[in-house]
Amino acid sequence: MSIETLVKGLLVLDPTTEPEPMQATIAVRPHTLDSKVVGLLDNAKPNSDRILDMVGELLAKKYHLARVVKVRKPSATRGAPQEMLDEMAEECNVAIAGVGD
Amino acid sequence: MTHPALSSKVYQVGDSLEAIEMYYEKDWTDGLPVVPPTPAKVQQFIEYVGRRPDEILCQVPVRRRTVTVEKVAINAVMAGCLPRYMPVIVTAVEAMCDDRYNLHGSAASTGGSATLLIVNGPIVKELEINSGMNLFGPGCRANATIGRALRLVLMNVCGSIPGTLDRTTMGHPGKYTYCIAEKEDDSPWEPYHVEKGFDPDTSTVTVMPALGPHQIGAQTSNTAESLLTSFASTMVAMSGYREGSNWGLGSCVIVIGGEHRGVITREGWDKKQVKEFLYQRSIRSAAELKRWGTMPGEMKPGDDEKMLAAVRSADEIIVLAAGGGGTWSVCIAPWAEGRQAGPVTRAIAIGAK
Repeated sequence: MSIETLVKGLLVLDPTTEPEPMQATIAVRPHTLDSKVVGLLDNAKPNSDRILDMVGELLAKKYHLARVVKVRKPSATRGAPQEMLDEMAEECNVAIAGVGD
Repeated sequence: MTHPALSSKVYQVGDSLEAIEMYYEKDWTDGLPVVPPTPAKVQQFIEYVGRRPDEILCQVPVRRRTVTVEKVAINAVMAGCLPRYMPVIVTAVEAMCDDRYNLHGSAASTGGSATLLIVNGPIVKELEINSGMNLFGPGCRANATIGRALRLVLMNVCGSIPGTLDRTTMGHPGKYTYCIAEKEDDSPWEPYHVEKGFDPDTSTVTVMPALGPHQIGAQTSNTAESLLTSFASTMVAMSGYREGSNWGLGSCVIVIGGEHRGVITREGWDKKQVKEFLYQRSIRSAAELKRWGTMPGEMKPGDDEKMLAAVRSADEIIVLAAGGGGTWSVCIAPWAEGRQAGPVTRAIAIGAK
């Protein structure tokens, strides 16, 4: 016996899906940026490099940074390549990303 | 509650009208009423393509979403499709997952693209997909519902909900449906899929994130040269000219209507000549483009001599023969000036894979 005959009325189906959950851990936050390597991830939108440069300069005024590493995504509309993120994780203590347009 | 053969959640409603209202309440529609997707109907659609309901057609990693045959079938039923449209829809969904299509970026962008579908080959006649009069307009079930099915998949399965993962500023009506076919039996040129290396008897579907169709009414151009010059001028106005583009994948689509095809073929121009002419006539200096505001940036010395075309090469222009009689053609610009995504063409497999 099909499921349709078991109930009165009409059966209809859910057309949606949910995003698959992902587990991730948040990196430990440093108490100070003194002697830290700061990574700036440019999302490749127009002028995003300018605003990130300003952020880098302001941080350099406030802290004794080890250095600033600037990275630019190859495409504004695609996620950063995994190798790029891995290299940043290797080189930097903290990273700043944002959406500029 | 689920169905024994399907994994989607099942809802019980009184009748079809109640179902239609429930889909509205749950924000599962594009704003129009849907056909209630009953398990029996959905199974019929799945069986038509001979694939398993849980088979994955497409993954969107950034959104962590998976598109299965079952979810596509549910949305195709809702769109008002017939089971025999499924091979086109399934192939189009797979093509949209090609990295070149850039599903996440194009569907999320403020640029507001829609999935333009171009169908070629024998399936056009088999499914009665309109390739003639009122090409982009209403009145044909296949065009109306195949395109709509893809929009519903984007919304319901891929999360392209306006305000969340669809950040479109304006968009265009093609976001409801945007499915056309080439009028191969009334074309002087080889069809698009044959140009791309497919056999004429193979059916294909091409997907491309595209802006709206711009109608070009060149009423008095009675030579190929004057007509194509007016098309090229439209391409110039609709294209984004950039230096140092980082992807350069895009295409511009020119759909040439009945009488315009007559003018061009009377003079014996083949498709290659048409494309080359359009390309050459779309070349402008950086200075002119900057004066128009078409190209960003400050005027620089040398801008008068720096020449740029609307597309990277003549071959990037997709020229299609379609639409009814009359002196009208259409220009369609690619999303994001074609820098971030491009067209993808796939052969349509019918039956079990």
